[in-house]
Amino acid sequence: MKESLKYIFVILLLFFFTLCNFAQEQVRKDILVTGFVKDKNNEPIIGVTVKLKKSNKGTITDLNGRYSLLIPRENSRLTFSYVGFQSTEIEVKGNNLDVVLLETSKVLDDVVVIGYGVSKKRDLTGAISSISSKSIEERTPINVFEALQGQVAGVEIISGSGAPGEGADIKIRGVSTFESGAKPLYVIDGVTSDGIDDLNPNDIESIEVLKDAASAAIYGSRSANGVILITTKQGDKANPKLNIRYLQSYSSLTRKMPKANAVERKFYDSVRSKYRTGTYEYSTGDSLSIFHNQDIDTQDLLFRTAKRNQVDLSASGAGNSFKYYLSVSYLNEEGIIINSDYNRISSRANMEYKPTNNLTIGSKIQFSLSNTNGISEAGVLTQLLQRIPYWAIFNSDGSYVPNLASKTNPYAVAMDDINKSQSYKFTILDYLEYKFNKNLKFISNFQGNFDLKRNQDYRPEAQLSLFDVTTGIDQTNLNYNWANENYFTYNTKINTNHNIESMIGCSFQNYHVENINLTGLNYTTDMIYTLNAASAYDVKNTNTIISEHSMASCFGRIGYNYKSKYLFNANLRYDGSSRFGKSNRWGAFPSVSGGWRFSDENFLKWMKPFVYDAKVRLSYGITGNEAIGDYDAYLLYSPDFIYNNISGIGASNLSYDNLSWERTTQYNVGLDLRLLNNKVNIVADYYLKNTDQLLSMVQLPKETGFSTIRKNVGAMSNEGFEFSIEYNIVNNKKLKWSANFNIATNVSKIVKIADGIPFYKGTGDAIYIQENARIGEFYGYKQLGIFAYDESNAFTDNWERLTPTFEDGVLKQYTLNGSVYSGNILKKKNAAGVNLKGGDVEFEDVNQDGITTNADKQLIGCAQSDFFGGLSTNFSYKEFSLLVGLYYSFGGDIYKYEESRRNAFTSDATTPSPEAIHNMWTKQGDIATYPIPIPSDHNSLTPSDFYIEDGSYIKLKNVRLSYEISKKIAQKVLLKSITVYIYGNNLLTFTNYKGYDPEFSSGSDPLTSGIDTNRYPRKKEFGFGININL
Amino acid sequence: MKTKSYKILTLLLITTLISCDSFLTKEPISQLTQASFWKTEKDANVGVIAIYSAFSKAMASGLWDWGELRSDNFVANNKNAFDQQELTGNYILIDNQAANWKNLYDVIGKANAAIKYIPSIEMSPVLKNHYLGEAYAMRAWAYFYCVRVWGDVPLYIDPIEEISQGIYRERTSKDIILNNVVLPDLEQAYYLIDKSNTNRIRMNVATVCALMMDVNAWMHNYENVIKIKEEKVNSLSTSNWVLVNYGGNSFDAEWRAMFIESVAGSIPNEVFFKIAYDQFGNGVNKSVSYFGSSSSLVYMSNSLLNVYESTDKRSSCQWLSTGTERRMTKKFWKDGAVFQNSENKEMSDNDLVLYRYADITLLYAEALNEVGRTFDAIEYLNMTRTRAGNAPYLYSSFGTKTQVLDAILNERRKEFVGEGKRWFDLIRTNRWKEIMHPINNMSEEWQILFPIHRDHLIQNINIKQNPGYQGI
Repeated sequence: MKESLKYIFVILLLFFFTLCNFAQEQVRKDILVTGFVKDKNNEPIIGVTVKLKKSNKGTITDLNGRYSLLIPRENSRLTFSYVGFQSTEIEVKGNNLDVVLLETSKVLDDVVVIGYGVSKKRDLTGAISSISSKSIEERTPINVFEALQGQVAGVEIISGSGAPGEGADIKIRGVSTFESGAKPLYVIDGVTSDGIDDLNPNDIESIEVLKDAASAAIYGSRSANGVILITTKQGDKANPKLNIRYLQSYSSLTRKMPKANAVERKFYDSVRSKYRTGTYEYSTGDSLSIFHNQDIDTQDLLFRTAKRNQVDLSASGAGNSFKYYLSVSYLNEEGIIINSDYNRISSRANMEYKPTNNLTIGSKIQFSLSNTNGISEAGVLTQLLQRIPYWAIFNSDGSYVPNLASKTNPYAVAMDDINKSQSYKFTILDYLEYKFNKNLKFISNFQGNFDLKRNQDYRPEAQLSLFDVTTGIDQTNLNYNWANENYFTYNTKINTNHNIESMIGCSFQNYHVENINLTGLNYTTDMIYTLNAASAYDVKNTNTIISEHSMASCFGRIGYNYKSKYLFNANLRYDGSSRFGKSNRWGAFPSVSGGWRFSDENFLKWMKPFVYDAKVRLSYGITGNEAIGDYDAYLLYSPDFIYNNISGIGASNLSYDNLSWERTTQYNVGLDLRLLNNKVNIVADYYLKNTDQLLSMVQLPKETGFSTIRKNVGAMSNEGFEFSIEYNIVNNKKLKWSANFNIATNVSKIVKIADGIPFYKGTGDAIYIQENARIGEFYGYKQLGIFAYDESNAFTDNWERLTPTFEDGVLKQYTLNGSVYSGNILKKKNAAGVNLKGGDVEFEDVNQDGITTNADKQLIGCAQSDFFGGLSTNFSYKEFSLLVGLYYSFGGDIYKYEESRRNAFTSDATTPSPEAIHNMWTKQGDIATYPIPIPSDHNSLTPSDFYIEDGSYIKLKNVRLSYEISKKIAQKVLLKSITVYIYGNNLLTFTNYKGYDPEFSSGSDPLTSGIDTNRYPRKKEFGFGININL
Repeated sequence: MKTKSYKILTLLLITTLISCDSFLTKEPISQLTQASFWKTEKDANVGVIAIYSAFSKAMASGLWDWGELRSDNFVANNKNAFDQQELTGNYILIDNQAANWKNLYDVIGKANAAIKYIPSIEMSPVLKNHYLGEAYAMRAWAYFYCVRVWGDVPLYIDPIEEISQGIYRERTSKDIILNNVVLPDLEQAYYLIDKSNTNRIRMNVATVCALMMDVNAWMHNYENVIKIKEEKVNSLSTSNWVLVNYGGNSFDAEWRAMFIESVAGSIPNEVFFKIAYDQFGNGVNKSVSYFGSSSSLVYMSNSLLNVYESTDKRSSCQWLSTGTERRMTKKFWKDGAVFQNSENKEMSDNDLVLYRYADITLLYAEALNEVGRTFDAIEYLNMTRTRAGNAPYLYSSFGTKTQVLDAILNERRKEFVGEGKRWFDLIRTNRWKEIMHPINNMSEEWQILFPIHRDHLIQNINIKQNPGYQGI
């Protein structure tokens, strides 16, 4: 595999070098004009494009700002253009022409990408945040998620785990769905895409996050979770580039978790055996056995310092009628757990050709291939902490110790388990743009996504539990979709003050998904993981399933503004989807928005010295979500009912003709402020999102013969506030310093659920979903303490606690508030009705019936954070620049599920944490925090607030110090520029949370979060790199 | 140029609008719809297969949870076997897996669909009747389990295909279900089923008869039990359905052959119905985790071990006589020690015997005793007793009818360990209190029924909990 990757790489490299001089042009000798281009501070500007008007002739200024150009005759006009400066056009008189360029006020011309078009940033009436390629690069990200994290107010990004190649959960303005369709819609160069995992962040020109309904509703039924628009780079005529980037980094575990050593474990064994068998001693039989007399730190054994290498090559440029951007990138990332890694090769070709002045045709092609070599979280990470420390990992002959008592050997599983996946992605976009006149434009495109995912799993026999047979899994997920979009745009100005923009179009999209599952059994050798080594096949899990889905849509937009002072915008999309019942197939998604630039009002002119620019925005719109199964509305019969080697066919899904869209109505009020001569830029938004007709799997009475049905039930709301401020503290030639801060709050509430019946969700049933409550509430038992004595379980008739007093070890009397109590004594019981004893956990008895049952569960925490955001600052002095980026989240609770299982004292082969061993109840009278170490249904009741912890954190996510080697030196070695940098990612975490990392995601279910199942821990990374511009 | 593009666009729009509706219609590819199923003979067969698939899931743990664990045969392992502890202790909490009726109603739903659609399929009339008969009998069987376990239960005799059919039903009286559904269904099944069919892992005429006897005995219609035995069972071909007399030294192998899946494939003629399991098909049952594995969830009770006389050959056929916590390691598997040995792993997918001829003889004996034909009763009681190597009971051994009943119950207990009978025997004969009270203080009438699972109460507010148990 790696060999072929290299091969592809070399070919692409060659291809790339042949193209890099495409834009060179020849000039005929006539008159030589020379001059200097400088800014208003009389500093030379390097790289200014100087062009003869109405021709191809042009040049750029050198290091001294000097240019020379041959022009055919005098009285010609030259244009001078450079990014960040106003283009200037001057008539040539004589042979010398010095020019002073004025900086542009960036605000006025910044353009952002919106659905089916672009808009001036200052004219936006919706809530759109945009991120430039510069701030992506600064974060040295592996994927787009890392690039986005902490940069946009109201966008919460939590990477799934620290496993190499892992994606992330991204939530824009909270959760507005009950089911797994909680991802935003990704649109890459206009192509809707399922995921952005394999996209090379260095190919990205800009990312726009469409947060409110007015911006997102143009994408209709797929936009309820927000839309992320990604624009890839395109060649620039003024600036032909050939870039080479290389980086290398080293990563390690952020911190170790406490794990019991052999002495602690043996103490635990002896206490446990005292209460189970009556003998108070530790015995493993043979005291010389190599197997029982080790003390192994599995964390040291399994974690390592991991390397990451990345090389990127890109070339871009443009001629008069041709633009191109080509890139190829290779990433190799090792995981911090042995034998886990990820590598990716991706390539992109963006080309645009303009055969006539009216017609543009183009093509964007992306290909990526990635290989992930993962580890089994259950087989490695759980056992890593639970494994008995004196159990050997290796036999004396060096082979791995096999599975014992259904516990895998984590080292052997990490080394020998097969957990491979490959992803092949191919995306193509062909487009055509025809300008009828300067107002009217027609755009048509065809887009295709092809996505093939392969996945192989195998576990060698030695690591299986007693009754398991070797099982090899080979899954293929083939996914392709195509779409055709056609739209007209018409933009015009009336009397220079009235600006009208409009767009209308339609699209068709077809999706095809094939799942191929193969499961082989009883392998004849462990050395081959492919299914040819299997002796039998698992019929139930060997199948292929194909499903299809189509959508047809019409959409339009009209925008009007008067002098950019009064702004108005309206969108409408009309979507039809094959997924819904015939009677509910079509849905309309309208939105309107308006803005008022009050800073331009005459009566507010007095504010100008302080308020540079100010605008209020108001928007309202409806977005939808159609992320359900392709045939959920049909009565289906499936061949899933196997008996006696025949696949019986039975009804598997109830028909439901009224199945319809999930509908989110969103209100947004925003304020854009630019203060202090444009040095401070503030954006603030308040929003309210109400989602109704929530699509949800509803539990049916099981008497019907069906388990669940998908219905539109329930409603939820998200309300939040976002604030971001950017301050250009210093900005001059040598010294630049800017800071960026954002904060967001979001409260997700459940308004209505199916039949009002609350239910449990998530691992360990920790999350309770009920009406008028927040999402992510943990329900469980409140642990009051551990009974010190058998006699401590004594209460008055009103459940007031009695204190036992002893005389010579015999109960003398009970006291209540210091005075002797002689009344009736009640005892708390477990669910089976047995009195609790010393060493048992006392849970709060909410319903005061003396018995600990389900009815005593109560609110014990909430996973939703109160506020989150990022802080970053850029500081540059001459050639040095420094970026520091923080990400924070406050107020979310975490349920330490895996920790609660480790300390449940149920299984002999599970080792509790050292904290539990040191604080468990061992004898009558112990004041303990953990119960008696014997298996007990009552003591291991979960979830318990004992395992709820505050998950607030501040993370030092990015630090990067770069140095740009002076242009003069660079040019001596025939390079345009060289930048070297060192960086660190995820360097520090400030938190009280005691697990590996308070930042993790608990899977794709939007209703469950904050349940720590000990996922692959995140790493801290330190690296260096070089960027060369040829 | 301009007009041309407009023309193209107009054309595009028109064709679009026309094709839109068909563009948005996507028929399932890997599933069938109502329009494409229940058309052929094969459809009828695979539709009935789905009933057995559901039934095998219900029996995977239900056989013992519902029919045996609550009796005096087993004690639960004291660690991790929380559900089983509740069952053997007769304090069942409402989230016990045994309180869940989903799998039985899956059987009923699939059977209802078969009963509705098979009649309209054009196919061989003999096969059509046979498939229909299978569906009727399976529905009766599932309801029979339901009323024995929960008493009154919701009644569905049509398949549910859309929500509007009314899915939040209340419980229907168990007497109505027994009299108006279970018994008529079995009559229908007996009438329809192909009596020459001897497939023992699907419904057959002998199993229908056994069910009829069992239901009538449960309803204390002992006259009917006798009538069914004498009219229907006696007319069955004895070359196919017979109580096998295992003689001499081969009792061990031959008696165990009924429970152990033999490679040769022929099931002994005594077996009426075996529910088939295949680990990689319909899945496994709980026999290994309940009885066989080294830390099995239940052990055999001392009273069960002591019930066998020393002459009884059955005791050594079911467990190894070592160890203090005695596990039933031999009944369902070839070798009593297989579960310690990783070389030759035994899957928990052995087929389970649900009815066999011994059930007929002992039910018949019970009915004969009830109606006063004591002499005949003892003759039938002795059949299984003597073939296991015990001396026959004599008429003079007994003084009262109750003593005979006790002997029959003891014989059933010895013959059917692990076959899901004992608990229902104790309830049917009203012996639960005298036997269970000394073991776990069970004394209240309401404890006979199981609780209804919390999920059912939550999912259908019209379902009310059985008295004595906690509500939601």
